[in-house]
Amino acid sequence: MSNPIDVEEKEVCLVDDDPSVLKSMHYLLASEGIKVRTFSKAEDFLTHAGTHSVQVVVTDIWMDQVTGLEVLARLCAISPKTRVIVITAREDLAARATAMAIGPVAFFMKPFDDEKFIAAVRDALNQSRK
Amino acid sequence: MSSDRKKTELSHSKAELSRGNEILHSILSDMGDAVIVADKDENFVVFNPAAERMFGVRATDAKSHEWSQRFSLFLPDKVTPFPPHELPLTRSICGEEVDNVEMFVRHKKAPYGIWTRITGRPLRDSNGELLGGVIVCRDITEIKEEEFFRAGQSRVLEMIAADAPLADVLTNLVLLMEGQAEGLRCSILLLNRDGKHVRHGAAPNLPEAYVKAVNGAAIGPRNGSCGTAMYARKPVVVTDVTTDPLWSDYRELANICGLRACWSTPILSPQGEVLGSFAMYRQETRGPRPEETRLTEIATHIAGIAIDRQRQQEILRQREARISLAAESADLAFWILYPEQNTAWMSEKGRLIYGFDSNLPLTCDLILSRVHRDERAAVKTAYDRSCALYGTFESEHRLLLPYGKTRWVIMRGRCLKDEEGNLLETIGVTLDVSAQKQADLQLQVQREEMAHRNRVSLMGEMTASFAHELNQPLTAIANNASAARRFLQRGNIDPALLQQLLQDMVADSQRAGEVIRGIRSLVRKETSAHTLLNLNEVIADTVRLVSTDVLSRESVVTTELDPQLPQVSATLVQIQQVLLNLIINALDAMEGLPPAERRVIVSTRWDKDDVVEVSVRDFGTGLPKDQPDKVFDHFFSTKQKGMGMGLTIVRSIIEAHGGTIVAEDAPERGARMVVRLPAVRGQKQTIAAA
Repeated sequence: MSNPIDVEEKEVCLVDDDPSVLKSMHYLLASEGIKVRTFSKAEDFLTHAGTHSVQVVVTDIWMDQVTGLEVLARLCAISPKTRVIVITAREDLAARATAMAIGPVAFFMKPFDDEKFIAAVRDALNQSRK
Repeated sequence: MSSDRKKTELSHSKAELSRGNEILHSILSDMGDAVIVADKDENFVVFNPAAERMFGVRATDAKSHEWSQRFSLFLPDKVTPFPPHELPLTRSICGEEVDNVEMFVRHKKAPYGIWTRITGRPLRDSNGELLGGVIVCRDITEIKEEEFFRAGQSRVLEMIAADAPLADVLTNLVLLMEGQAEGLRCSILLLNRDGKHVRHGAAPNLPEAYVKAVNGAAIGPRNGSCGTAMYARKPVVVTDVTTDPLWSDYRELANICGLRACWSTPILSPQGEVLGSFAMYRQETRGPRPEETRLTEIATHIAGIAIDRQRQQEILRQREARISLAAESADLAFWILYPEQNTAWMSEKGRLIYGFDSNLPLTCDLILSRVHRDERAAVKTAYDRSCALYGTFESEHRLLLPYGKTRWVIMRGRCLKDEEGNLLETIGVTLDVSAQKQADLQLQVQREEMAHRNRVSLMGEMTASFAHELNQPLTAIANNASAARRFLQRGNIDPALLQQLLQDMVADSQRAGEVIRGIRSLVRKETSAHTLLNLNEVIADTVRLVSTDVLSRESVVTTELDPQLPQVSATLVQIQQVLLNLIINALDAMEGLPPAERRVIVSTRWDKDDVVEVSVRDFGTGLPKDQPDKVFDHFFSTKQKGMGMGLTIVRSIIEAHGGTIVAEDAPERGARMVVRLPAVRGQKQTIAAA
């Protein structure tokens, strides 16, 4: 683990303004041995993405300050190669369509199936390694 | 002694005697009192000029049994001839001393009669032998008349006090006045309430034609003596009605009736209001003499008392009639309680309301026993407190009648004390409000039903928020459970970590429970418990509740809250309902705007000492131009999906909290809904101290 790039390759960023959801996703991915970096504010994550190479991000699209869709749009500009997994607590077809157009690899309604979620995260990590 | 000397002495004695007789004669002639002397054979020895004047005849040879008739002597009833053996002179001749016998005399020369008071003494010689009798008669006519006049006034005043009919009182008064002077005729006219026309009061000795002609006439500056006196509010003296211009309209009538002079004086109430007039008529042309002016003063004074009293009584009667009519038609019970004696009185209607038989003797305890047992102690406490303070009391409570019937009543009373400050009685009314109460309860049920439907429909507007609020903790729980399972499967779990995961799951379950409780409280039906609320906190919670929907509508809700805001006493769910309605309306009003312009500002302000103001403003199209208040009407809606009930319910909730709500156009654009609620007193200090 001496190569910083290596570390970053295995890391998943989590963005959610709800602290308990953020923490629980952290535990879930940690239980699978996946390294996680958490952000409770979308702005903080975007700042991080500007200076670091981010392979995979899991983000909520309904947050108080900046909407998840905005995050997607800005991330696209900063780091077009980042794989994005969207989670939302609300069924909103329009938002989903918009999100898919920007390009996430997966879309999950909260609460979600843990197996499928973990599989999606692993897929994303694997694809980003290629 | 020589015979000459004897002769001289005799002639001296005769001369002295003659001079004595002369002196006596002179005294008797000039005396005002009548003096009569008769010998034992009833022959008159002395009958002085005053006696001739008083009895209208000279001394005669008539004997005592004829004296009553001959000298026109009557008992004080003025009609019964004086019994001969009772006559003071007869009794004196018989040797009796007689003092202060009153007698009435009437003859041709004294047609109105003379009153006399008589004293009599027997006459005896030096041996005590009876020679005859003497009487002295004093004329007391003036004293008697004054006495009768005063008695007459007392009689009239007694009639007034006994509430005799006004016509009878005034007729008696006029007759009394007429009796005081020869040839005098009097009348009383009454001024109508319009202050412009007169009506007949009393004129027992004026011709009927004259009375009829005057009845209903107008007052004015040239309307006879009476009409002018009432108009000018001062006495009017017409010495000759045939020439005076004031009488031009009545001259002929006066002529027919034989009236020549008429003096009239206005009758005033104690407050100076003109009530009528008192007039004196004469058949000769002259003005009033001082005694007649004095009579007028007395007559107008007494008539003023009589008319004013009658007016007051009429007002009282009308008021009583109105009160009793109102009481009967308003299901009102009148009652009086005498707490010292534990007795009570109650009107018939009252007995019906309380379910007492008409002839059941009432006590304070019996009346109190009708109050529903749950409320009896509170009613008794309120009543006792008002008795102790001699104040008033009011209580709304239920009565429990025989056979289990219940009534809702409002009882109002006042304690009265006597001059020494002791509690005398409590008087009051009880109003049967059962019907109104029933209607109120129904209305409240309807209102709550409507408000409930509104809250349920609000829930539909907030599904995104609710889904989000609930899904967040559920997601966390699912993730944590899944993580724990995976750690366990891998067999390398740190017990502290497992502890942490389980703790988080418990916390998130509780959070989900809170969300569900919040939803349930919004859709629950019974929602009327008032508590002290900090509106800033309620607003922050409510805005958080709708935050997801606000985001999904691509809008922004911001708050500007006054940190010094005092608390209000209100029902939390209802205030939340008001805020949700106003915020969702504001969001709806901006649907057509570009997302960047969709802003709602919720602000609070401490308006005045006792008022808290909450306003919700949007930047939409504003209120309907013609009638801004129309937004509060039932079924008024600018939205396709709206029922138009939201703001109607909002207003009814605010008004039930003692507040107001107005809709106004906001500066620049958009609408502003301003809610004002009464602040709870004393909160300013608490907050400042905290």
